[in-house]
Amino acid sequence: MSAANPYADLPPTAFWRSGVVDAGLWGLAGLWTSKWQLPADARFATYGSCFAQSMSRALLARNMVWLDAEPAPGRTPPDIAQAFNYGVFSARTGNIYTAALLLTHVRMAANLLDPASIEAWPDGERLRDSIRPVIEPVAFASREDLDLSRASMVRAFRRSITQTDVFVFTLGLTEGWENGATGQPYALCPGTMAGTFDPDIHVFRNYDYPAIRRALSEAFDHIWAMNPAVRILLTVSPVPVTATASGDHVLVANTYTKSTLRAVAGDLARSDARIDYFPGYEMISQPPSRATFYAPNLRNVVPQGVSFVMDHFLKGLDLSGPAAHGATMAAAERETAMLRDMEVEELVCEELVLEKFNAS
Amino acid sequence: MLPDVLVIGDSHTTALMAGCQAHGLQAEMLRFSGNFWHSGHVQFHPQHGVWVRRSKAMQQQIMDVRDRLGGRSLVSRDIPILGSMAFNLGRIVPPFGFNRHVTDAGSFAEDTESSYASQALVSAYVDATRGPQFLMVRRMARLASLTLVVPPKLRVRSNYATFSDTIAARLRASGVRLFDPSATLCNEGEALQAQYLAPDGLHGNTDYGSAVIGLMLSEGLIMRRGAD
Repeated sequence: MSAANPYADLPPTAFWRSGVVDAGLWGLAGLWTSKWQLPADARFATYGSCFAQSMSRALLARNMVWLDAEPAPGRTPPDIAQAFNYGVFSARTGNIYTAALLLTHVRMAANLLDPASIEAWPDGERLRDSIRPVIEPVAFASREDLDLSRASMVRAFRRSITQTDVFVFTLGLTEGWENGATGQPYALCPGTMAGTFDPDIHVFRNYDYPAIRRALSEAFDHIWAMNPAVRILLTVSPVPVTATASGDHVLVANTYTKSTLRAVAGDLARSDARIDYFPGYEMISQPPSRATFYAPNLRNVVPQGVSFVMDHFLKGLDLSGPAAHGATMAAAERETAMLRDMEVEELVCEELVLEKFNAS
Repeated sequence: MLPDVLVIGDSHTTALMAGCQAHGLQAEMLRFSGNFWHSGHVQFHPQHGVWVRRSKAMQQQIMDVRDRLGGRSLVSRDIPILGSMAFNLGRIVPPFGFNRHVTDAGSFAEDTESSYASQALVSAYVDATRGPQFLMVRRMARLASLTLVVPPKLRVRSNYATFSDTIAARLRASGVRLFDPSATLCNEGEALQAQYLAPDGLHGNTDYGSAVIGLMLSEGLIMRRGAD
C-alpha cells in the first residue's frame, strides 16, 4: 500500500466512518462554514418552499435580523396576520417552490415583467392570484384589489432584495405547472386549491438541471443588478414531494427532484463566490439522522429538526464584521423578533393539498 | 318629561348634541371617550342599557341619566337613540397605518414606500377590532329606536374613508339603521366643507351638528315629543 496519495492527509470529516459513523448525529461537525464574513447585524431575507418558513422563524428566535419587508398593518391580531400570510416570508410571495416562479417574482421586482400581466383565477365572484392563490383566506374582491395587493408584494420583494445582506432561497420542487401559451408558471396546479384545470391550457413541467440552473442564474443576475452587494444562500428543502405528476413512483420522483436541486445549488455555489449552499437538506434527510427529524408522515420536519439545522447554521456563520445597519433598525427588528416568538408556529404548506387527491 | 332623544357615543356626540339644542330638541347625552368604546369598556347592560366597566365616575353618569329618565334603562322603546359609536375611527385608523398601509390605488401610487391592504384584510381587521361593538349596537337596535350617525367625511380618499365605509356596510348588513350626513352635506367626491369643521379639524362643529339634526328631522328619523 502506498502512503503517499491524496487521501492520506485529509481530515476526519472527509471520511464516512470518522466524519459520520463515529461522530454520530449529535457529533456531526464542520458540515458548513460560510464563505462570507457578514456584518454583526446582517439582514436575512428568506423565500422558497415550506421549509423556508421554518428558517425565518428560527432566525428570529435566535435574535438574528430577519428582514420583514412587508409587515402586517399595525396592531393586526396575530391570528389575522397569520391567516393573511404576513411574517412568513420577507414579502408575501407565498411559497415559491420552483426556480421558474422565483424568476417570475424577480422579473417583476426588476421592472422586467408587468405584475398586472399575471393571471387572475376566478373564484365565484372574486379572484385569486395565480402565483399566490392562497395568500389570503378570502379571494380578492376585484381585479384592482388583486393587482394592488400583488404590486404591493412586488414592491416589498424588491425592498427585501435591496435592503438585505443575504438572500436565502430554499429550493423545493422540480415539478410545476405553466400556462402552455404564455409560459407563466403557477404556484400550484390549477384546480387543486384554486383555479380550474384546463388540459388545453395548463402544462406540466418537470424542470431539468439546465432549465433550473438557467432560471436561477438569470434571477440572481437581476437580483445583483438591484443590489450588487447581496449574497445568495441556497438550501434544498428536505421535505419530500407530496405528489408527483411525472409518472414515476413518488419516492423515485422525490429522489430526482432533490438530487437535481441539490446538484444545481452545489454547482452554482462552486461557480460564484457570491453564492453559497447550506446543507440543511443533508442534515435532515441523510442516513445519520435515520429519519429522526421527520414526523410520522415521513414528510414534515419536526421542530427539533429545524433547531438542529439552525444550530449548525449559526455555528457556520461568520458575523464578525462591523454592524452595518445602525442601532435603531436593529432594535426595531429585535422587537419584531420578540413579538414573532410569541406567536404560535403553524406552517403553511399548500403543496400538502395534493395529498387529498391520493385515491389510495 | 322624557327627552326627545338620547345621544350616546364618542366625541362626535358633542356636535350632535349642539344640533339638538339648536333645533330646540330636548336631549340627554352620554359621551365616553372613543378609547373606552374601542377597548370594550363600554358594554351593553341588561338592566341599565349601557355600562362602563372599571369607571365609577362613568357608571355614576349612567345612573344619573337613568334617574332623569324615570329609572328607565338607557336602551328602551320610549326614547329614540342617536349614536356615534362603533366607528371610533381615531382609535383604529392610525395604528392600521403604522406600517404605511393604504387602502386605495391613489394613495398606493403616491407613496412608493406604502403597502396595500386588501379589502378582505380591512374587513378582517374591522371585525377583529369592532366585533364586540357591532354586537352591542345590534342588541341596542333590537330594543330601541337607534340611529347611528356616520362620522363626518373629513377626507375623500384615505384609510379613514375606507374604514368608515367598511364599518357602515357591516352595520347596515346587520340591520342597524345608519344616517350618513355626507350624502347631503358633501359635494359629490368631496370631503366635508370647511364651514362645518371644528377647529381641531377632526370633528364637526355646531353648524354641522345643526345641519345633521335638521336633516334627520326632515327625514323623520327623529322628532319632537308629541309631534306626529
